[in-house]
Amino acid sequence: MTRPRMTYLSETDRQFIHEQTARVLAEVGIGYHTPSAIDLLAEAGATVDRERLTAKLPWELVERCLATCPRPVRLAARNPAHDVMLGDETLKFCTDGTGTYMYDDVTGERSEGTAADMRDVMRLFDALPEVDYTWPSISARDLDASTSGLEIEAIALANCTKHLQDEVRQPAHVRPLLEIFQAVAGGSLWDRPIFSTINCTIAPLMHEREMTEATMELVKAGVPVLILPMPLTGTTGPMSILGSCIVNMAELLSAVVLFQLAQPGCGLISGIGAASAEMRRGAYLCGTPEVALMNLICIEMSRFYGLPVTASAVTSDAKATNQQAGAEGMLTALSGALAGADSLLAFSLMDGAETVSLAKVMLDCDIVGALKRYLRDDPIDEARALVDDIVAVGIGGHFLARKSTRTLARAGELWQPRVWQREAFEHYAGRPLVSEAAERAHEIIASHEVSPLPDDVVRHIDEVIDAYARSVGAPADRVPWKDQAAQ
Amino acid sequence: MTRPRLQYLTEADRQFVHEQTVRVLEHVGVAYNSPTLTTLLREAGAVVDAEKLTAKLPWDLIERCLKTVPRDILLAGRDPAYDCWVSDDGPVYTSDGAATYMLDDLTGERHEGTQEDLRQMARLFDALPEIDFTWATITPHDVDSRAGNLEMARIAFENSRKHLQDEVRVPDQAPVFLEMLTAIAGAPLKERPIYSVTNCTIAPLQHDAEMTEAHIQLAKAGVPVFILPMPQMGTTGPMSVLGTSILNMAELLSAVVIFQLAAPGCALVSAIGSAAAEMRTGLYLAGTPEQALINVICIEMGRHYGLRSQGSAVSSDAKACNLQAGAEGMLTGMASALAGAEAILAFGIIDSAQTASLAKTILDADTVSAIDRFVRDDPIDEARALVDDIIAVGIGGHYLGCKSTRQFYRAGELWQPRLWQREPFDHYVGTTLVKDAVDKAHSILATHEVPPLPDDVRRHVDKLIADYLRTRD
Repeated sequence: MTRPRMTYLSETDRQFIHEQTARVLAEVGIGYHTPSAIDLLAEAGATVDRERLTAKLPWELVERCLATCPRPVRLAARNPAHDVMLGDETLKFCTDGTGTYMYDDVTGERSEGTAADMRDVMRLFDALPEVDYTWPSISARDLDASTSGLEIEAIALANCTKHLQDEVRQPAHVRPLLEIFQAVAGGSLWDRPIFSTINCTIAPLMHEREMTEATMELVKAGVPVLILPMPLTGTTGPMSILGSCIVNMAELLSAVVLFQLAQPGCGLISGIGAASAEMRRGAYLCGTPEVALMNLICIEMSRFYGLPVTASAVTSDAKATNQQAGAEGMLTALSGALAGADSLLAFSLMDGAETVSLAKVMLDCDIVGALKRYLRDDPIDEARALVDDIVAVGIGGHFLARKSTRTLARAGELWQPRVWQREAFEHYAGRPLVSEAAERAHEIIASHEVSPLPDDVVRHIDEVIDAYARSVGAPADRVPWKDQAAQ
Repeated sequence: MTRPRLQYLTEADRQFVHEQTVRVLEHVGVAYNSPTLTTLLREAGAVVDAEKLTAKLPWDLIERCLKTVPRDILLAGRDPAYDCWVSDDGPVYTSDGAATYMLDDLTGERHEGTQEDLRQMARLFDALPEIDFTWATITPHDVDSRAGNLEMARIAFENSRKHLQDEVRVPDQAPVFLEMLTAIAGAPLKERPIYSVTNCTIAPLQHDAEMTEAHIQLAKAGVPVFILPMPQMGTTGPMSVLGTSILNMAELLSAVVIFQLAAPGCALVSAIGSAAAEMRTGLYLAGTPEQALINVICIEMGRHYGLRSQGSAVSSDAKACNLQAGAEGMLTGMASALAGAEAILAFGIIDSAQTASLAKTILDADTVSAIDRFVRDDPIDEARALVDDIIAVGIGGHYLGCKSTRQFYRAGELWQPRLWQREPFDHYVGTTLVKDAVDKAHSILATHEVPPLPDDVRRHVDKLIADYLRTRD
């Protein structure tokens, strides 16, 4: 069996990057900015500065913590049929997050995301087999700010039966969220981790206190963590791919140490968020060839450390689902997949992760489909060589009548796209690709049925959210998530 | 130095593909469809069927012929400043050909290609540094079809200083071509090969006798030949990526043999034209993942035989410059680049090579240069690691004040696209990417000047074509 796979770094290169990363951790250290973290680190042998809340990490400590990271990591789903094992040497696809705006693919205009947009997007994700698990791609700006941190997860769980991954930004959200997740999972998250959390470090070399405290609580309840460093070359990372990768890896390992100390054996995933900065404005760029290269390096280094890895891919800075979106998406996807990522963040986002497009969700399905076909492990043997047919057909003639033509066509030797246009030119007069894709998305959203959460679970979610709303003094006229999403 | 490169086949896989290819050539053979050619083959040791004009090729003959193919191949420009080499120095990119229609990128309508369309495409190719050499991308339907390829060459050379590739379909045009090309080159073609030909074999396992005889005449005079087998998986090739690749390689080697026997030492490149067929309509598909895989296999096998390869890439079946065009183009482009193709066919065509587009030509320049950036050989060392800066900036802060930030930015550590849109969303309200690309193409065409051919050369070329047409009356 043979499949395309790429190794970028030599063993010497990997050793070099490893040494430089270890040097940064030991000599510069990390700003954890979290008193409880500093206590743990000091106990474990790190050199801490309690005033500045920083710690220098000796390599022995990092190594010890890496040794307790499990691989693969199980990401359970509301519907167990959608459970995912991350790190089992198959490539999975997760949706990308989180866009602020919802794009109208037909008019080219956009508006701030709403709960109803989020409901539609999650239902679409539930329907598409290309999506293995989800990060809610759009934020719901019309939810009441005091409770939206809980309500977006409620909307996601009610409208999609796949594993849910998202950020938890406040420690106060942890307890009610765990109640919600446990209610939906029907028990402990150790048994059914239907939710994983995203922990963003802050480049260079920092952790954010509230998110870190929340994550430390979540891991103790069995929630896996996607660690997502996001240095940008030239602004919050040095102006080289290699340097930014070293910062990415140093931040990653600093989080590995902390969460393994907080909960030995907790499931951790290396997320690669390193990206480029547009140097005149400092804006985040996610579709550059440099992002593709940072994916390669950080995937190889994550594998070197034995961690499952999620790369940012099928991403784009394009402002519409145009040729740029396709090219940037395929470049970042190919680099992530060929380097051996365990999952890729894909689907729906464009415009430097600012804007969500339903058409792009559908079109990205074809990128993912084409990519999977390209990467497929195929035999190089007599059965596939079909030389007996070549000999039988001989000089001239054709292969249409061969039995193998029918058999292999049916077996998927030629991949079939979902929306991409392959018929004759005239066939598509007046039917641009983007309209077809948007129509298909709307049809699916209208017709796809998501099995509802049991009534008692919904009641329990409402009780948890209401109790939290009261505890934080949310406005009495707050529109609850179900009503807001139904608009 | 480290760069992304992909190895698909194992050594055992390559040996297997090689053995199967040889089996086809030794046991089935190839139709050359010309007594001149089969005579040459019989003399060299092939087993010839004089009636069917076919030949079975023993491996030792093929091996002998592979040895005389030169490694580095010059593709000279009309202007020596545009000379390029098919060599180890990284891929050279060419425009794709030959479309029947020209797209209006803004209305989505299309019309049959004209001389003016070819003129515009050739001038755009001349202006874009991403394009190393050119294939006459669009067939003009308003020229005398009896001299079609001659007219295309005339228009292309009048509007572009870069090397031109096209095909010569009939033997009696070959001497006219040779005189025309020598006049334009101002030197023998052996010294200044300003033109190369695409030699299409006919799948399965046949040669077009007229085209091959024409190209042999040109090869003898120093014109490089790009051999382009085009089996389509499921119709003219078997229904598997691997089987179609084997057929591609068999046709390729059969052409290597005949060209090396007829013109020993002539320059040959393995151009990979194999593709997939859309099974309901039989249409040619140019942007599939299967095509990407066929490219990878055939590029690796080409290298196994010591041949240079041209991947068919940055190609698409999309009907406009949309997401599909970008994704299919990048997939096929990356497959060829990562597999180590020395030349890559790109630029300008959508709709399964049926339709040319100005916008796509401009947008493909960004695809190609993004690929080049990605596959660039970069050092993995202290100078690039910038760890001293990481230590100096420490925890928090930023790198904007570092000297290295300015230096590396200027040195191209962050690739800059020509047209892809990276500013904020609001910056582009009412300016779609495709409109930007069309505007860019038109502004280049409005200002870019290509020095004309010298008057005497132009008169000479005109007279050659007129004389040729008179003999056809």
